[in-house]
Amino acid sequence: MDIHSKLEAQGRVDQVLAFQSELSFLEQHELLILDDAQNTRLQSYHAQLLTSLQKSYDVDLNSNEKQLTMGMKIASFIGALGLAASLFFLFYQFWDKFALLSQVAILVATPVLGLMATYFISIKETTGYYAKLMALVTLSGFVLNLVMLGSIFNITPSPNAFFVWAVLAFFLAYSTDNRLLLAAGIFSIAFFISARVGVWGGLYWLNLGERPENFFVAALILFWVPAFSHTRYAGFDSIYRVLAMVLFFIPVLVLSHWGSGSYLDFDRNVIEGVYQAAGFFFSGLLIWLGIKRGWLDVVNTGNVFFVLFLYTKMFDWWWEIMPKYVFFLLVGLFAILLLTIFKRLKNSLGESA
Amino acid sequence: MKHLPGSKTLFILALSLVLLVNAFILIGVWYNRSGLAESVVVLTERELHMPYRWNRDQTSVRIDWRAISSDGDSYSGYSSPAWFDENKLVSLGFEFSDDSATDYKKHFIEAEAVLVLEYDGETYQQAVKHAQKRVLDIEKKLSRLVDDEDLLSDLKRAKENLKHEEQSASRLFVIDAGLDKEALRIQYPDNQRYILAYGIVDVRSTGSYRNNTKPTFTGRIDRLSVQYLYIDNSVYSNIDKLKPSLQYSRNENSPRFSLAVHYGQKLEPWIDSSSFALLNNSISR
Repeated sequence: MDIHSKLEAQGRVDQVLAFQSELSFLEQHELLILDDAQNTRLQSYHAQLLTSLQKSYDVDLNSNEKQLTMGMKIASFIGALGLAASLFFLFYQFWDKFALLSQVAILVATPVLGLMATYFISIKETTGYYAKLMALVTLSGFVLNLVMLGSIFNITPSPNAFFVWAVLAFFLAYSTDNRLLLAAGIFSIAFFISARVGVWGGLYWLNLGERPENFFVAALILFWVPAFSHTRYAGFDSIYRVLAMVLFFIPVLVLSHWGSGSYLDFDRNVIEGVYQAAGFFFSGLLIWLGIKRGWLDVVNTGNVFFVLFLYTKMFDWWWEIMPKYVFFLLVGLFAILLLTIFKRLKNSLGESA
Repeated sequence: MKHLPGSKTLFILALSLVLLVNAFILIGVWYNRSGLAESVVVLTERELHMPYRWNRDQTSVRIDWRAISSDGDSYSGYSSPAWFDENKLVSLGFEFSDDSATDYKKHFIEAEAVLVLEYDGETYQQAVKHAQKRVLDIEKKLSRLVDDEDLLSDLKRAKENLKHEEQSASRLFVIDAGLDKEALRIQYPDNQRYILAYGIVDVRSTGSYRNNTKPTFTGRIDRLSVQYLYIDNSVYSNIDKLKPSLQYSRNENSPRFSLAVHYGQKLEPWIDSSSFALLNNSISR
């Protein structure tokens, strides 16, 4: 089996550990007993496999290690935030001490040194935590770099900054297998694309939110990015799809209650009706697509938005006209109905598997 | 960590991106400041406002601009200047149809335009005359109704306003807007009195579409694209020396310093630090 990412390696380890546990259970109950030669060959194969995976991908071989890994991830995230904030305030604290040339040199050097440090750490360390932490600091340094150059030289603000931040975030995310940076890159590029779409629609770039449909193009593009192979990267495809769905469904939700925000030249009520129907249709469609393709993330996100559309609609219909206890009774009954549907869906998924 | 395939290439690309973007920005700055400045105006504390809380982290001053609104009063935002009518909006690329009133009422539609800022010119004299006229009008009324308390307090306010207008109000007025900076420069050739700068404008509609009255559209200047000007160490310490009364208050002081503000080829401004000069009250006006 080819393993391309830490996520896949961890999956393989979990598979081996589950197999070992089940084998031990079967042996205890004398349902399956391997002879010594088979046992030795199996144990030797598993030991070799686990050692090799741990060396290459720093996988967790038991639940204690998994808990520690989670702690390290949280510590790494907090460390990156702390270092980025520290960098920011350090600049402001001593900024007035430097001459213009030194200020420019410091601003340019910060992301450059950050990048070099990230690269060398990623080669040297086995876990990847320090490289990811350094990558986040580097991106913060680059954001600071452009913001402060803009401020020093009184440069007219432009959406292009979001494009270059996104590109650097993507480069760093793909080179250090960092999902947080991928999310930062996705939001930056979505902002850039939506601002550009808004400009084509006659808006000033900062007013992109005046027409929520501006976000649809970015959502559509981002949803299909994982169609290009992402097997090397842990969970990247899910992040693209989930964030693309958020970028699509939130504007749909807004437009289903604020028809005048649309580019469509119809009556406000018609537009709101269309977007309410679109909300149900597309969340249903994506749940179906998620089941068909085995995309659990898409199924879950589709479910969340389907329920959100349903409850906002129920609120619109019934909140004013019903006694509150009847309204909440209906909410409860709908929840039970949804549970039944999801249970059936789960059963059918289990059967097809 | 298992080294990801292609990560070295990605790092090289990332490094190139950072260097290229910085080079692009710095070349842009060099281009903006190369050759003769598009305009150079010596502004004073009246036009370059310090923030309400001055502290050692301070790195900028705000350009304070005004415009004459359609009722003749000068303002710093919210209402429309007399010259900013529907024709001007059309020339800036705004389109108007039967549904426009609804559209502009419901949406915040802005656009970037080249603004013409006049420094200490006719428009400022108009503002002073307007303030003087208000004082004279009230004094005339008072000559008939000697002890009218409302008029007396109106007179007090009008006199304060006149003093503010003469001594401390900004003399920088937005007087026109367009999309073609060359055409505007031909129209306003004096580059030591007229600044061309990018700014953000939007639309206001008046008249109710419910009453079938034809709506009228007027433009409003929201802000300059670059509203804050960076000040370096030397300017910071020079301004800092003006303590203890750092806050420049309405009606209380005449301006205490002046600085030359340059606008370059890309209409982006910068302050010439060496131009910092202290002013005394006699030359402040």
